[in-house]
Amino acid sequence: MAAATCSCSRRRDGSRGQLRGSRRGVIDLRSDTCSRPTPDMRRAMAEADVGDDVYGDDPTVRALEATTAALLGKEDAVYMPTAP
Amino acid sequence: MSAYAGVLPRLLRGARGIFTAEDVENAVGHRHRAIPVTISASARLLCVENTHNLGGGSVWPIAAIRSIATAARDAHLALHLDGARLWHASVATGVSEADYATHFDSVSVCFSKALGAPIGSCLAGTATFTERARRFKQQMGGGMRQAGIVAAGALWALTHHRARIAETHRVARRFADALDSFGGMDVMAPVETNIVRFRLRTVSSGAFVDEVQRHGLLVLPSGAYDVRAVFYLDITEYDADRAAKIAIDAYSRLQ
Repeated sequence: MAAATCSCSRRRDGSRGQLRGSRRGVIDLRSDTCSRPTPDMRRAMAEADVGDDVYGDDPTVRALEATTAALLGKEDAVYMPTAP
Repeated sequence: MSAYAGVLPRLLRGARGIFTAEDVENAVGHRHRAIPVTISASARLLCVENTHNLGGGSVWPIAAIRSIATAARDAHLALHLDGARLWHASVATGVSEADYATHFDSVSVCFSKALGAPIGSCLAGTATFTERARRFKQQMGGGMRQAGIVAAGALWALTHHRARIAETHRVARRFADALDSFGGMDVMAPVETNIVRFRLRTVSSGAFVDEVQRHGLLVLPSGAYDVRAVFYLDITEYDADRAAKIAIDAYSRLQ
């Protein structure tokens, strides 16, 4: 099925575009992972303070991990690419 | 799970993903001298998913968590909470994430499932546990260098988008109510969070999914007659109304 692989990032004709929530009239309810970053979120990402996280040096990753651990009442948290 | 962790998952039935202490006790099994301990895989870890995806976004009541946690401890099982959508459970019940998490040794949460972040999850637990987890993360290709760029999106979502979850639940219910009043499809009820699952009485899910896609709606088939629709902050009430109309029209045409 074409839509299962294409519409999150790529249009049917293969071109990429700035697709949003109900982008180009398509309502995507396949998963709640199909959201698009908001402009404010993109700005926060663009301006993020960074370091090499493999050495534990990325301050933004550390802030995210600390915030999450605190919210969950756990000692520590690890940022992962997916789960799953 | 089996490929990477070398474990055999044993699924518990439950009602919409919510099982009982008795289910846990039965799954762990009763020792008897007629059965050598060398035969069966020993149970080590109990996993709970809250909210439950296949259960249609169902929410674990905290009393049910307490009950299965006691059963798990009695059976010497560690406890893991798959809390990819834990935010939704907390918004639906008013029970904080920490109050859920306290019953578990480890908890995973997701920042992209309805929180709107582009990438990532967190796995939380004791410092000893996360140290091991960091090693596995690196081993499996999860090491990311200047990951702060994507972590900033997750942090933004965590601090700004949890407040919008209740709105997403309302939009999901609006869609479910519209399907329900049409009458041809059986909605898994109640819709407690952001997932709507419905069963088509006389049409296959594959044909239905293809038909609604032709009219601008993307949903997933789940088994022969079931369909899943999931809501998130980009989806407005207007979208929900239009999605319901597309679904109802498609179903009517296919019957």
